[in-house]
Amino acid sequence: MNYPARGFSAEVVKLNEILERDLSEIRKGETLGRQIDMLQVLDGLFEECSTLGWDGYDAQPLSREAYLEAKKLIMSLPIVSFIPMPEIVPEPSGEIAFEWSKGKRRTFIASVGDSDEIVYAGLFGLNKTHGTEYFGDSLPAVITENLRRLYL
Amino acid sequence: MDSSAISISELLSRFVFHHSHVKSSDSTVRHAAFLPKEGQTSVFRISGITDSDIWDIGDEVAFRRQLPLVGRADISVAAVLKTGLQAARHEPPPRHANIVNWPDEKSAQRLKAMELAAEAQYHPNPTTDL
Repeated sequence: MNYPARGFSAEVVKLNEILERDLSEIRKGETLGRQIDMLQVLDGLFEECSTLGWDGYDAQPLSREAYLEAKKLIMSLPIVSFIPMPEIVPEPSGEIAFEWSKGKRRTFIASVGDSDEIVYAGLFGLNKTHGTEYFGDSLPAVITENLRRLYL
Repeated sequence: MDSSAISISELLSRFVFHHSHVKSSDSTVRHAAFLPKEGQTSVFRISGITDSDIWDIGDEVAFRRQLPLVGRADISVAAVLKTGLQAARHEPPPRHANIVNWPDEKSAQRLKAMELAAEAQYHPNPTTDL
């Protein structure tokens, strides 16, 4: 944030800088808190969906690899206020989806499994998208672009 | 005409056995409830029978699966066809059918499952608190 120089002493500007930094740390702390909550939900679902047929239709158990990829995705989520934390949805293939929803036909999902890939699909009213992206050390740009499309 | 094809005016029901496949905040079904297993999604044809009959079918399936029935998602054959998928009879058991013609690509499957979920009407099991 920029502050007009006129009318503010150097001390006030310095105080504002400290305040900004503290607020940023608080926001990071809140996000970390939400990520920790999500990790707990993930742990619960991983345990619940660890047997063959957990969905009543011969679903594969959630794989250890999918669980680790899901943890990586949670910790890679963007720290921006307009994108809420997603909901975790186990899939019958043993993969784990993350769902962001703004109502009917305004939904985006990103799924992770055994490979270093994110499979994504989005419904934006009448518009649709889907694809697969390599998931390395950070969240692929196409995922954040689609989340912006959903929420902005 | 394929004898296994189902009339466009019919309704289908997908029974749901895991709570994570239902969004509790607005009582809607999630895409994962419709994702196929080996190229098909198991459903039952429910047109022309009572609500009680439909739940009886669900209870029977739940008994065989040894899982509690969370609810069901009803969807019209017309909505299925609109996504490019198809519905085909697959008996026994009576009234059983499959949603078929799923694409091979995983992301395309998810998109179609999302479209089905968006069109489906979710009904929680009236005999449970879920």
